[in-house]
Amino acid sequence: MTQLALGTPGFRNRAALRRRRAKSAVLVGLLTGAVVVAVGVLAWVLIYVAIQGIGALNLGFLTQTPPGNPAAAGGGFYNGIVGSLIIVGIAALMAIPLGIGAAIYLVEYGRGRFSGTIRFFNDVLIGIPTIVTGAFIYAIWVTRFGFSGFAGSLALAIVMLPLVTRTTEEMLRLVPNELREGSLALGATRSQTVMRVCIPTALPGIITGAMLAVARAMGETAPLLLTTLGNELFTEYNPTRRMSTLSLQIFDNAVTGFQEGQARAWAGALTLIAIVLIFTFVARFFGRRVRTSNA
Amino acid sequence: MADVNLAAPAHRVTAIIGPSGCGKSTLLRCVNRMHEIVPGARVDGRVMFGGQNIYDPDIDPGSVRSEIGMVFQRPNPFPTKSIFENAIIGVRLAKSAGDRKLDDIAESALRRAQLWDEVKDRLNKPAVSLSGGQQQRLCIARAVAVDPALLLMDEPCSALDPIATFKIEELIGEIADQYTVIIVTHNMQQATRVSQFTGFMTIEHAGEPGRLVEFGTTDQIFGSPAQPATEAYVSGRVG
Repeated sequence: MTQLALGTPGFRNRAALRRRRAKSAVLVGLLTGAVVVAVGVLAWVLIYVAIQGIGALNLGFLTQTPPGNPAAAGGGFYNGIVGSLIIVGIAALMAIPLGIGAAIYLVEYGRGRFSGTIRFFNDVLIGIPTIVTGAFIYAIWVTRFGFSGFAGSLALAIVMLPLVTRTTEEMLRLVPNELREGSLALGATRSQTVMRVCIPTALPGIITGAMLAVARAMGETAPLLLTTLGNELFTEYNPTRRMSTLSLQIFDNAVTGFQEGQARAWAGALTLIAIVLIFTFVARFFGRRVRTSNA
Repeated sequence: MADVNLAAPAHRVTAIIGPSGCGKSTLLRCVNRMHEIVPGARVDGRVMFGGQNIYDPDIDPGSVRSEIGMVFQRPNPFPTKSIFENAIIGVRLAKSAGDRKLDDIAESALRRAQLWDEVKDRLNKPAVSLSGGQQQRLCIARAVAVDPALLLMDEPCSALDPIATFKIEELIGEIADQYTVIIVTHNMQQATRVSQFTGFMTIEHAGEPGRLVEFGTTDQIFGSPAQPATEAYVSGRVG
């Protein structure tokens, strides 16, 4: 063994160290600023909506329909709440199973060019403006069968489908391949592996993705203007007829120009946020329960 | 990989040794048809098991895999399932739980994997709450719960510390009288400690197929190898 000549080690001197620390401080400062701005804007929106909406939000708001005269005070968005829940519910029933199924195919079965093409179109579908989706449903459905809650569900399902597919796909990809191999090596079939190992492992993420899609659909207004049109007069439970939704009522009341209408719009916005939050919490709680009891 | 011919004797431990990339794991994965799930993989030849060629087109790969258990390099218990469920999942998948109670199956599998005493009070805890060595023993329990005739182990200790390794080696010795074991390892000391038979595989150059150089009793391979390549490897001059 020969001794290696190391020379003077190239440790940083004090000036270089100070420069490096300064750079680091600037970067950390920028990143902290980005977080503060991002979270701050979100908090601002939430707090502002809460302050504006809380005044007009009461039991009557949740149980009554809007007054005939938009300048009148009082009344509520009960018909819009009902419409939103029904329309988004039907859309979710169509889009979530279909999207999860498509994602399972893409991750667990799909190979080669075909699934690559599907993935590409799915990404394109995510980017389509929702007013275009509404116009599409208007052209192929509303022109034949008229405005209805169900037409709105169709449009919202098209909005939700690529989101569900994409998030489920990403969650399934995060399932380590070792788990699939472990299951297959026990003699499980591919479908058993998917149902018993991959889906339970990815479930919390899949639920979060589905809830994001539901939240997105809840707030959509443009495609509904072209499909369900709205119904300010009474509460409609039949999705084959025109329905109101929370988002449409917020829009209608906000543009009236009357303070009373705008107050209702704020209360509606707060209600919308509350519904989405409640859904998300319930779904997460449920997902965790399923995950552990399935254990 | 090409020209691999070896016979693993029943109720014995057979070790496959050789340098990285020579195809040891691939060989192992051919024995329970796990190799074919890799896209682009191809298998020629026969693997005879219990008098049948497991590559017979009439044979379901799933049934092969439930007869031939496998333990992987890294512990891979199912994270959403409890210790108990991990131990018996193979039985559940095979839907053959009727004759014996699942509790008994779980207990006997965990005992054979020498994990029972450590987990008997927390069978419903998630499997990921165990340490790495315990997880690997749980994976062994999972594999033996379905009573496979043959157990394949792909470097089962390479992700474990020496004490966990020692426990697994000890348990391999214990279960060898009930099962036939084929273990891939790149740790030669481990091969001498746990196996009665050894096969040595190597590749001459990168990109060439891996070949089986020599197969014999472990004493013979390490004591008086017939091939110079084997001798060079086991004596530590190569690899």
